[in-house]
Amino acid sequence: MRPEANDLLNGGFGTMLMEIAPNLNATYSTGSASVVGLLMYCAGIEYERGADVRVTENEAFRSIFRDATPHLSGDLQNRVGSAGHGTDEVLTISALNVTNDALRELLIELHAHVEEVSDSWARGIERAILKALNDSAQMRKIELPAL
Amino acid sequence: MSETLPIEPALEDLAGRFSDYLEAHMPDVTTADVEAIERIHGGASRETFRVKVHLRTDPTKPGEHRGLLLRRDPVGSLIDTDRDVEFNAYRAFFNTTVPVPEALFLEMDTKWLDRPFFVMSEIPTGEAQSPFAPDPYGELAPKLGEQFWRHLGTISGADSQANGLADKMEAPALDACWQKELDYWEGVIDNDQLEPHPIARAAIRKLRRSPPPPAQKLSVIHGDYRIGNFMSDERGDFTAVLDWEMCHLGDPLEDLAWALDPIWAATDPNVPASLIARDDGIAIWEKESGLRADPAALAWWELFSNIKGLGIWISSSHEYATGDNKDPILAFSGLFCTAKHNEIVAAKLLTSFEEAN
Repeated sequence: MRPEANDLLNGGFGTMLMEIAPNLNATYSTGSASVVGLLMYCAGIEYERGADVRVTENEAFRSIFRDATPHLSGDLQNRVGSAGHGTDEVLTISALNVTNDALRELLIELHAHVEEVSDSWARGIERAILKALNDSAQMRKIELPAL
Repeated sequence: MSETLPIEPALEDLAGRFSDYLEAHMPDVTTADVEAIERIHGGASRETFRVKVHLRTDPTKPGEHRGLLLRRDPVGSLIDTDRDVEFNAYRAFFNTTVPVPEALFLEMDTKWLDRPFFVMSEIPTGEAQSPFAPDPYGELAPKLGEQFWRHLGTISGADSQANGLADKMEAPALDACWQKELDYWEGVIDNDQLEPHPIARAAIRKLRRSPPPPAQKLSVIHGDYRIGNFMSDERGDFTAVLDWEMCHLGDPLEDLAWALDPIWAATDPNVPASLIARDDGIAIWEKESGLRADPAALAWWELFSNIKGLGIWISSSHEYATGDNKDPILAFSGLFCTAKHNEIVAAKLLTSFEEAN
């Protein structure tokens, strides 16, 4: 599809902010139209990077799970071990979200677990989790356009 | 508001009913004609209308033109006490050195405007600025910065017994302030999250592992003291501190930390609210409040503030996605501000870990 959806959304953002919002009479409508324009801008960013962010995150979380598995035991070991060997086969955002949510939930559980373990391997996993979360936040941050 | 604008057809019914309300509740007034009414952005949790009314006590005399703000509950949300809290806070600080609008009417009866509402006087001068504008105040920043931190110091140092708020709000023990707030905001995240939040969860666990010292004083907490929630004029004078919806009693460092949050600093995290340097602001707050900003305790409350922010943004996303309120500002807060606070918290957690190991 050309122009791509992010181009369409970016174009809509400009139109909304520069042409439509300033010509509305009601203050509230002007504000709302401007915010809708910003939402279009954000949606354009997400359209372009959304799948890549999720696939990259999912693989980073799985890598941590693979490293942690040998140090765990019982049910947590089974679940972490299993999750560590998954793959993203369907790349729609909705499918990636289902996997991403499940991996994030398990990451929270693993993180809480290793925080309570004093061994050096636990510190290594904890560092890897915090690094992955920091990378995730960086990938997902939104830079607003200069207006 | 332009005086030449007609009343929007969609607001004609509201204007007429509000006129009826004023005439019924202002004993000396014989007619209260709504000359203009428009909805403005005044917080997504409540509908806010700027209203110009013509009040007459004698049909043969010109009467008085008066500006009012009408804050009405949105359809289906918010607990009943919220509007009481804000109304009482305005009452408590009216005619003090902290500029606030005069709170006039609090109405719970839905027969008037379908939903509860309150009315306050309009602030005739000044405007609020966006937290995300790169340099909203220019050369006025130093003058406004001094007022920003001084007014917060006044609020933190206020006597909640004397101003009446102690009788209307829960008073936690000094060593329980942190837990009350953290429990509340963790509960908001539990209830409203649309997806798992590993960064927030890690921060919450960290906060619980190392609680702050007891509050040095049980203070009035504005709850949302930041750029965007005060009005100032072109001379660099504060004209109003607004949006007291989350006002409560608690640890004064809670308000200080919220005001210092980097999310309110568009370009430099060391210049909160895009006004003056962080350390200068803290010094003004300490001097005015008579309280101390212990660095370790403040660091706890600053991380807590990030979590409180995430709670608000996660709640905004939830409200937009599942509730009746489709105000686009809720979606924008849910997207942009969640991403920003996640970025702030994740960096803090990683840095703290590296320093400790």
